[in-house]
Amino acid sequence: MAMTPDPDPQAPGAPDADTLPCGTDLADLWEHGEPQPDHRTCPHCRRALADLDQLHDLIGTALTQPEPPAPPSLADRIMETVRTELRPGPLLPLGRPEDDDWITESAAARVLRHAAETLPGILAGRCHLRPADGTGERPLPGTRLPRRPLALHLDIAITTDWTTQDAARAVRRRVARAGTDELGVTIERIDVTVADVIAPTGEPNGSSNQ
Amino acid sequence: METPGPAGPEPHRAAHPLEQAPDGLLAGRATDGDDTAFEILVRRHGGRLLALATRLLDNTTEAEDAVQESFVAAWRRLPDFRGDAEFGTWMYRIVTNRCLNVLRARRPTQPLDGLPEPAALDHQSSPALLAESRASSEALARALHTLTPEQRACWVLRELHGLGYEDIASAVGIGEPAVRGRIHRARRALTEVMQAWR
Repeated sequence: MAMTPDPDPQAPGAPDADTLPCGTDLADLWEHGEPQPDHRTCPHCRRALADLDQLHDLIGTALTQPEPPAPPSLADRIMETVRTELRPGPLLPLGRPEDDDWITESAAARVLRHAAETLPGILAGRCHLRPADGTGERPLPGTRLPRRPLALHLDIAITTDWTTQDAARAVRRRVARAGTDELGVTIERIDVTVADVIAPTGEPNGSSNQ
Repeated sequence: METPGPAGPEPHRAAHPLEQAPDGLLAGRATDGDDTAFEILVRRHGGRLLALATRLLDNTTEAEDAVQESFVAAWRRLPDFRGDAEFGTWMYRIVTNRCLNVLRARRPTQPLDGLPEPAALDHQSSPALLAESRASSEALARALHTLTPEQRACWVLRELHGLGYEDIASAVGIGEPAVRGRIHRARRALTEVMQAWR
């Protein structure tokens, strides 16, 4: 099967260079990495494969050079810009109904996540606070949520030391206490989702890359 | 009245537990506006993305700019990031797009005979191609200049970053058959150049 359905007008080389003198389609040959059974001794096929091997050898050599890490200054520059564009989220009511105290969702989330992470082997992910009687839709940034009880949704990742039920129960307890004692927000319902399983502390984690 | 938190002091920055967190968890937090989680993603993926941009653009300054702009764009777009792709794949897509735009804005692909002499190339910024044989690397680096931006992106993502065809298709914004075609043409162009100095 000829592999030429791809219009690439800038492609260098003549189109018929894709067919070897023996009639083999070069794209197919390189894709499969070995000649068709009746071309096993064909010099054209072998030569074409040797060319590709040579290219791959060169790539292999090039890749033995370690990638230099990005200079720390690059990450610093990126974060400098990012921190001028923070997203604090909506304002949540604090304290008693007659008070006029508010906290941003991101600040509240920081406290609640931290409370969950005081448990060993648990990391916290997404953390949303919405009116418990609302639709759950994302409120507009900077808007004030009504002074009504909140519902919390928290994603967590757990190590295999935990069962999901035990982890969810323990997290719910810690987070509820932090909501009351540290924040003073009224959280009526806490939904915990175990979104990931992570390697136990001290072991390399498959998801971290560098 | 202040109630002391049960959690105790903040953990040390150096041993931040989030350093071990999977990308998905960090991306979720960053989506919620957690800039600390985003910073870990930036440091985790920055090196690989800078290598990609450098391979595509052959220019350290432009590559750093592309990576910086890509991460800032990612931060802005995170609230719409549904997590249907891995964060790393998503970043590959953003960086590739940005580099392709830079490449397309440059002058058209050069024919082989019109290539600059090796001395005119920015060797420092071609770490991917620093093979044992400097001559080979230079030839390959020069050959890469004969490719169209899309061919170059597809080939680099496949051969130097090990991405699958599906992820390359999404990064470059073309279909999988087109990706296979681009990679094939890139291989053909590169082997032709190699034959010349064999």
